[in-house]
Amino acid sequence: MWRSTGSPDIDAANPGFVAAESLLLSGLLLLGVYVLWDVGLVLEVQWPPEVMRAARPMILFLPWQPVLAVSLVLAAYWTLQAFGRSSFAFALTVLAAALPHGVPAWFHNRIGWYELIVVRAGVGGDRTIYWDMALFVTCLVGLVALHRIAEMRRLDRRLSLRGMELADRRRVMRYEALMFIGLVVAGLLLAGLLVLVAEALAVYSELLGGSPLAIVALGGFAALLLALTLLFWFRGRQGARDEGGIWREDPLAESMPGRP
Amino acid sequence: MYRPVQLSWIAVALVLLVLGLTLGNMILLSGAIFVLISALLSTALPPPSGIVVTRSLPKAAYWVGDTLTVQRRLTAHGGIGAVFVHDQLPQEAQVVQGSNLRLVWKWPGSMTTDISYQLQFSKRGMFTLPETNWESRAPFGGGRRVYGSHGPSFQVSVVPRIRSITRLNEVRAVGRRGLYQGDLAKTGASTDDFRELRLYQPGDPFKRINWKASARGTRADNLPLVNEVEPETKKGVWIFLDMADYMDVGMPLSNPLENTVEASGTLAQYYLARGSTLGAYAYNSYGGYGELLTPETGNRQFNRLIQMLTGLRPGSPEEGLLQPVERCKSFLFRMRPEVFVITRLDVHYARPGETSEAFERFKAAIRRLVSLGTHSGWRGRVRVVHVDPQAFREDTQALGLAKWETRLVAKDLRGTGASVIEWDPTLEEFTSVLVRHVEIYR
Repeated sequence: MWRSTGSPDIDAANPGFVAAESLLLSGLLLLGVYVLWDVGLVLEVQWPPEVMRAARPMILFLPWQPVLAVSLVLAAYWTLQAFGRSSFAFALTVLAAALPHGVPAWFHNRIGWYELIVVRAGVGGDRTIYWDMALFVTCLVGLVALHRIAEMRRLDRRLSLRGMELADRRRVMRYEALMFIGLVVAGLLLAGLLVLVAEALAVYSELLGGSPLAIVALGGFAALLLALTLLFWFRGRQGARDEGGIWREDPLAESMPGRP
Repeated sequence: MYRPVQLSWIAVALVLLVLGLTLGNMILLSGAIFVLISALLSTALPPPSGIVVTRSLPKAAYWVGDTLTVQRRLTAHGGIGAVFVHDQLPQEAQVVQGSNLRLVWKWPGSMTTDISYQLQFSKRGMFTLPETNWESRAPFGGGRRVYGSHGPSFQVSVVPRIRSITRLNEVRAVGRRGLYQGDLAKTGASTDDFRELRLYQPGDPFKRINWKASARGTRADNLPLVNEVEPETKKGVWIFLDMADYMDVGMPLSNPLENTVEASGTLAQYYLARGSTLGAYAYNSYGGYGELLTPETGNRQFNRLIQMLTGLRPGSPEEGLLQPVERCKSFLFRMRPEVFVITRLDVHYARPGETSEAFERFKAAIRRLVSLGTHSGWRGRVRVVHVDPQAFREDTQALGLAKWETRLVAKDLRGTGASVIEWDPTLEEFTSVLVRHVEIYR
């Protein structure tokens, strides 16, 4: 195992990462709650009369919907993380944060499948698509960021356990964070640009005999991106073989010959 | 390579894409596009490449406890991301400054950085620093990773630290024995200095026969006279070092084993500086076989001893002292040296219920050494140097018991004709013990 033989500053998970993760997750959940509230879905809690009598002011003045949602999901998330089920915890988070956005998104379908399923909510067709799109993409940005922060937290902990110098760790984490911010900004800009291009193309929708050209254009862009991503993936793997490098799941978690 | 979670991001994007196309939903499609762009950018960035790690050491040989600076220079040309550089170190090495495991971030363009660190070796020996491993990782945790290593590996020789004997050289004590002849070695090269005439003995070279002196008078036995000349070396010294694992207790830098090595080096330095012939035997060492240093004189012999001491490792005490004494008998018989046996005496004490076989064998070995001197007319002394273990220093009761055991064993040994020197390394250096020893016996 790669390990420093110096005096390691071994510590537990960096509390900064934990705080950032919790804050981000709370924000995503609150965003989901807001979206549900915006479409008119409100969770009504029927408190037992004894509880109402005992804590009436607290129950009346506290926003129970967001507090419950955030508390429950946060508790589930960290409990699962503590038991080493980080993938499962993240999948749950994705569901909890992204599903509420499905309700407003449903009302922006441009193909008539939606008529088969009737969603009873207090929303009509007058919702602006860009607002809902912005909320959904914000949710996705948050989820990608949450995933990255969780990865960085785990990496930081592994590095600290292996005696990596604190200055090195901090420097690398800072640059990783900078790179990630750059990635998100670039992703948002490019995605926005593609959406604008698709909307601009929609002017010529009569060319396809009434088909939603913006949808076709966006679908085409997405398919192209998918193909490029897969291409880079395979090319990268092939490149590593040519260089004689060895690809590993996690080099820091594997043993190197000999000692520390 | 993508990790499962990142592959699942592509799966998420694919689901959003299919749903968006099926429902004609721009929101889902825009989400798919954002996720795919993120995945694409993180995949497309290559990890740092063209990596070369050069490493150098100022010297190849160090004293125990010396600080050794390993200079490393990392050069990378392409790519972006983190580079791990790792030197695998022997167990005995302790990093005192910097780190053997470094993480360096590389932005686009070429990069050169120095990532040196400092080491200390707590034990003597020959150690290998294998080639440096490196690994580069693309950013975002999911990109390509490439790793390799750069050589060469280094051999580091860590030699025992021998105290200076300057103090000893200043001792001007009067010799008590007055028998300088007794200090002369019987073997080795002879000088041209005439000492006396004596009767021919079988084995004397013919060129030593003094024909004129022999012709002057006829003797009853008709034996010719030969010229006796001064031998080149003045005294023979033999050291037996106990390398058993019971010596290897306590702190790595200062334990009976290392103290034994230090004492041997000091003795060798002192006697070789006076032109003595030195031989040594390390018994109970690793592998069950002893290490013999054939008798020689001069600085080269000191270097050979240091080389031997550097490679010594503790072993099980199966060999004992008797077997080495028999093995070195021919040298001892010819050299008639002063003999030093460096060991721990308290371990030879047989507690109630224990068999005293090991101690009896040790005593027999000492007796044998003493008797070898008597048979050969050799008046050299046998001295047993007891190295006090410091492991019990904090345990007063154990310390008292060990001292009591040592005294009993020492008393027994003195009865065999050997003298016992007790050395407590926490209280004084071996040089001080040697100063006293020189003052008494010189």
